[in-house]
Amino acid sequence: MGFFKAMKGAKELGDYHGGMPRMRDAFKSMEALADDRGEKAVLQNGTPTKATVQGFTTPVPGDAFAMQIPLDVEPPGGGTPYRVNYVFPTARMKAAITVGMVVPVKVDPADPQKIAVQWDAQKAEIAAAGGDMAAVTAGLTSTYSGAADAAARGQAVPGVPMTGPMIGVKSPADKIKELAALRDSGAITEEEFETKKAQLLAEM
Amino acid sequence: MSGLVNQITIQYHLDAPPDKARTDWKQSPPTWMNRFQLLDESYNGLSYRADVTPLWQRIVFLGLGTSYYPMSLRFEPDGSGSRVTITGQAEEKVAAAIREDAAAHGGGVDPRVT
Repeated sequence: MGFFKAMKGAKELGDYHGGMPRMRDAFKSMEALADDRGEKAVLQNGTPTKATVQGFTTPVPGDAFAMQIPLDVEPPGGGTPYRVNYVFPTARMKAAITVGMVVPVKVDPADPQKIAVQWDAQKAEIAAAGGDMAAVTAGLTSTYSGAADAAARGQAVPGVPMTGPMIGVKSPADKIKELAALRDSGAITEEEFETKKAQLLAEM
Repeated sequence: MSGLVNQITIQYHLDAPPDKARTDWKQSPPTWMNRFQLLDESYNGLSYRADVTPLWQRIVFLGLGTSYYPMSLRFEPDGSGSRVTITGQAEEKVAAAIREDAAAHGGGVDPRVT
């Protein structure tokens, strides 16, 4: 593909996605994208410690350039970990971060809620764990004790509550509906239906 | 913004415990780190970067197109000593020096494939 053909293809792709942004909008977006939201100051003056990730990264409503993730931060001087909803500029993210991971952070001495993940150090954390996939899997396993994996196989893990919809796993309500269909078709008796239904209701 | 070339990840044993190994490394880094500058320090690691911008690139981009190779280190307990994980980018001669350093400390492994 020649240069002009590539440029034409790129323009067609751009037009498909709404065309070139207005210059004023583009500069606003660039400004928001480059805004570090005070992270540089925390990284320069903060105190190093670690935090454990307590959930997944989610978008920040109304803010296209930030993400958020709940962290339990260990106070640098020791003590009980405290929760921070860490909102970070997405463009500053350099490494994977997900539930269960222990990540290096710096805490603003004047405001413990102001923290910054040390992304360069996080790269070494992930490398030491055996790479991105190994680090993510270890985080998930430490958090859910293999419950997600067991659920995908249709098994229950004692003591670990399963919440939320799981792909490929039928809820008791769905199973009761299927049993009712079997009863209506005559495949099972009313008595068998009632027995199984009682068992499924007990699981709910 | 770093590229994908010249990446290196290696892990090897050091005799000193993690805190001391980290402090020693920070105070007197190995000679292969001559071009690296300390950028940041975490509770268990050190982060460096080296300016690897060629002269022609400085001229063509009027000093704006700077290229950096990052290097992050993590120290963790390993018996009575520590295990250092080094990950980042390094020119081939620097990477060779890192491997020699690892060999002198009992041999290095890439934790992503072992």
